[in-house]
Amino acid sequence: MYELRRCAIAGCDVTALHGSEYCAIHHPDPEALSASILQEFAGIDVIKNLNASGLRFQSANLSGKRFYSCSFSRSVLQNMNFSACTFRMCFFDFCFMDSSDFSGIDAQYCSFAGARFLNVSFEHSELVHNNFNGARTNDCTFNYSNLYNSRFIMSEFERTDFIDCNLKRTFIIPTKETDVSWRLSNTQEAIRELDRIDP
Amino acid sequence: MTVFFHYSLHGFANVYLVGNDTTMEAAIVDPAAFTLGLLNFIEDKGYVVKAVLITHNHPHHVDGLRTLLRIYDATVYSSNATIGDVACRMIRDAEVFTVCGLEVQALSVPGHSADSMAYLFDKIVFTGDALHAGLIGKTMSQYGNKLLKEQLSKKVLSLSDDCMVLPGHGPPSSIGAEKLYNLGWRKTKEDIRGDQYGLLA
Repeated sequence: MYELRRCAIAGCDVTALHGSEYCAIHHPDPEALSASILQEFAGIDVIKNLNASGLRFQSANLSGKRFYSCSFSRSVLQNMNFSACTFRMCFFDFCFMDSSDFSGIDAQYCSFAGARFLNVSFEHSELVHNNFNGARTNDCTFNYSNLYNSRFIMSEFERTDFIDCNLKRTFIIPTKETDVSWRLSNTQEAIRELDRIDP
Repeated sequence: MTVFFHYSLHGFANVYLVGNDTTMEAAIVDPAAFTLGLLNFIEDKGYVVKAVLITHNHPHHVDGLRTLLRIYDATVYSSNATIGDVACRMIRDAEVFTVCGLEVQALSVPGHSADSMAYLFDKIVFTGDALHAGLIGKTMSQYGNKLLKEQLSKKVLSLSDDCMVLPGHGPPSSIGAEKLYNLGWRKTKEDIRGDQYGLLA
């Protein structure tokens, strides 16, 4: 778990960023911090306990890296390549992701709640035990993925495909579905009604 | 502080290990099952389990307790005096105590069960079955449902939005997400009717 140090600004209760005394709002130069974090990533394959909440990352190739207990909550990820990455207990809540590649990832026990996905691919991924509640997807694909025990409660899907996915114990209770394909997926094993919930 | 997550196939419950990396002491939150895999994991990391925190006394959250206590000499914290034949250190609502050198606050959130407790470690809250990602705990009556919502609103949703929610089942979440995307806050027909009567009164 990343350090839960608070931002050095008096009265600010937000957790300080990795390698900084400040949160993303109070950091004097968040872009420089993002660049230095990306530089740090270049030399390592395993990234643990990193808090990058609220930062902006773009056009970086982080393919194959392994992330443990990291937070990218409220961050902006544009043209990022996270293909074949491993994520464990990572937080992407309220993130904005645009044209990014998450294909072939292995994400377990992560939260993408309230995130906005534009043109993002999660194809051929292990997405087990993840929280996509309130996520809004446009032009995205989850095809050929294992979504066991993940949740899509109050999500909004537009032009998003879930072809040939494992939906066992997956909660799919969206508020909006437009141009969505569930072809070849085991939708009958998904939980689409609250009556079927027995926690 | 390090938090590890272990998925127990017994009741599909989440078991958590909260480790103090300075003292190498650890607390287990809800030992749903104590398997060889979990034991190996604890030993590989080099922790000694000194405490067990029980969110509520339901089998899918406590069935591993006796096995755990045969291996580790740990204090069991619960809102009950006993769990089965295991004596517990009883905790009360809002009580702040220290486990493994880490400060914890107990938050009583009855509704799913009368003994439901949530445990707050700094910005991480273990909610048991009271609050899950997108859902609140199942209750046996409308009274229980109302009570649970009241207690969660007062004690859990009042935490900061970036506080992590680690529930007894299902994926993790955050307070910010639960405020916006939890079906439990949706008004039922009875709530709406009650509101109308309230307005008329």
